Amino acid sequence: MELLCCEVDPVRRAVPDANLLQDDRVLQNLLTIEERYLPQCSYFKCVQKDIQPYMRRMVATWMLEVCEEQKCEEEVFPLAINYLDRFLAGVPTPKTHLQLLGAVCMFLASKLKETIPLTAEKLCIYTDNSIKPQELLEWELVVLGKLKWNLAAVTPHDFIEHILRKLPQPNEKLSLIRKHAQTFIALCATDFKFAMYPPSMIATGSVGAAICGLQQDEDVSSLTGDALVDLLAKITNTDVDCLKACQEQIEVVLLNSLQQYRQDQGDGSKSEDELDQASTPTDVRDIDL
Amino acid sequence: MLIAAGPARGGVGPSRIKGRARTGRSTGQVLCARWVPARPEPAQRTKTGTEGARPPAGRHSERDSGAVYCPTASTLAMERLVARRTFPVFARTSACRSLFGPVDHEELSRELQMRLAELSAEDQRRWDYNFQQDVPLRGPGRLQWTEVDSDSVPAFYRETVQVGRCRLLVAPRPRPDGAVNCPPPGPPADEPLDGLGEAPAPPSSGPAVTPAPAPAPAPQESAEQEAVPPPRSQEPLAEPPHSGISGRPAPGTAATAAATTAAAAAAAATATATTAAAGGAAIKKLSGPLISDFFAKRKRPAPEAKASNEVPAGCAAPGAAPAVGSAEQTPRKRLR
Repeated sequence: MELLCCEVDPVRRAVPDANLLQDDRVLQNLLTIEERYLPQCSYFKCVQKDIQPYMRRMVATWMLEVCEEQKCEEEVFPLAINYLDRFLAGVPTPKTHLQLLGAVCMFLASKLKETIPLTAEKLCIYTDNSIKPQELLEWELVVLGKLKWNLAAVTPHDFIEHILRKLPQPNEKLSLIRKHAQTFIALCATDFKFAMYPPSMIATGSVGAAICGLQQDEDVSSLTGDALVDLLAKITNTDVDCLKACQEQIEVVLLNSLQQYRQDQGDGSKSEDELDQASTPTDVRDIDL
Repeated sequence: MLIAAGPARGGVGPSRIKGRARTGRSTGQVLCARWVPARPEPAQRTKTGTEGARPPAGRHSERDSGAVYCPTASTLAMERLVARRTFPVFARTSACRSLFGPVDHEELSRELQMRLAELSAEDQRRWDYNFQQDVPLRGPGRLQWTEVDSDSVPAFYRETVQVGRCRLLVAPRPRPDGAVNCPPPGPPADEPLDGLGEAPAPPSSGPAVTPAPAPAPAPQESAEQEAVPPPRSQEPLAEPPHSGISGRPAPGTAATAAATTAAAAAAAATATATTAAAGGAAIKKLSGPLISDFFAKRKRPAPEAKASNEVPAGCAAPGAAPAVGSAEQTPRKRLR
């Protein structure tokens, strides 16, 4: 007798909606409203007294780890960071509450984007039980109130398909470009430098950096250098010089991150468990330079 | 019911008013604002914002157990196991860490209270409404609140509770300190005073709560021709949809159904009256929004319909109070 396994992925996914992805009005609307969801100010200078930029990096890195480990949808992490930045831009927060805030933001973003969202209990375990689920739920209310319940923020991910569709790339390369671009987007979210950039610019820069990075190995694109940047800039109405600067910054952040990773590996501080995760798209290790 | 009229700034869809159909308002009275409070009050918000928004526990176990039943033989299946969130139980990884040291829970709780107070003060300013005491703010503000009968609004705006898969209508409890029974003709700003000062609700307020307020609904045709249609009597909320259009018992099965409904409505009305008198909270099955709830209002003469529109007409004239309460509404899907 044969054993039959009918196991399917329990998370059902909608197919990409061509009506949305192939309509330029959608892209135009995204470009119009994206500015609304940017943090109001560079909050380290004007709002926060206790929190330093390196603390944001710490909490963002932790959030990325949690999202990766929980195999969250790609958008969850950038969206959570968007909530975090918008909250911090308005509410002075002591550093001891920062991890709670990060957990709340992941909780909200996960509920908005995932079919099976993260649970409060699980998030609390990830804080090493330094917060209680009840506190997470209470603070969820505060964060919602301060964000004026405005959760459906535009993220760089919203632009990726619109950009890829307009590139003269062979289809078989697209998935690799998409995967790398998504990694870059996650990387940008961990760095405060990019917090005030419009999502469309981060998306465009990430796609550009992905194509450039892949081109060093093989010929993935018929376009090179300036022609590519010009085309990308045209797609999202971005200034060419800003886009170039953004792409360079992304590449710098990537290099730093890779160096950091190699150091960590040298120290042997990464567990076996984490190395197993090298297949996740948001992992920096996936990128071949 | 109170109605507030005011500038259109920051208008929020009227759906939110659902959370506003007040406990503590006198029987048959609901508060209603032209520009409706954006959020339920804190206690309720905690529910809707947090626990209410969390998925049922069963789904998580489904996800988790989904991993457990995976065949472990093939590498593909193994990969899937890793990918499923927790297998076999939540294993602690290096991601489980406290970043900034121990949290002072008392300080956190104080901060929480402070932030919640900030938000509630903001709400109060925005809506000219004291959500803690559930009364409109006194004095000239941006909004003017008018109390109208809860019967003149669709069932959607009345307070409900979710029990399992059913949504039940909560009968308004009489206000502890006595309550207004009908909209006072005075200026809306005086309403809170009136509401607090008046005698306990007379029995006539009983049926007003129920989904079937009028045991013998007026025929639609006559209501259409009336210059000033009494909104309360033409709200056959519990009527079956097939008889909703005419509002008049049709011959045959419809008549039977209508009769049954009327009987049930009468019974329900009695029940509510009793409960209201006893001061308890009666919970009744909500029959769901029927198209007849909304039909009558659309047939109202134009000037009144205008007064009941979403667009604020400056401030509502005292006499227009009932019409404003029965603002034209599209039937909405219930939110869980």
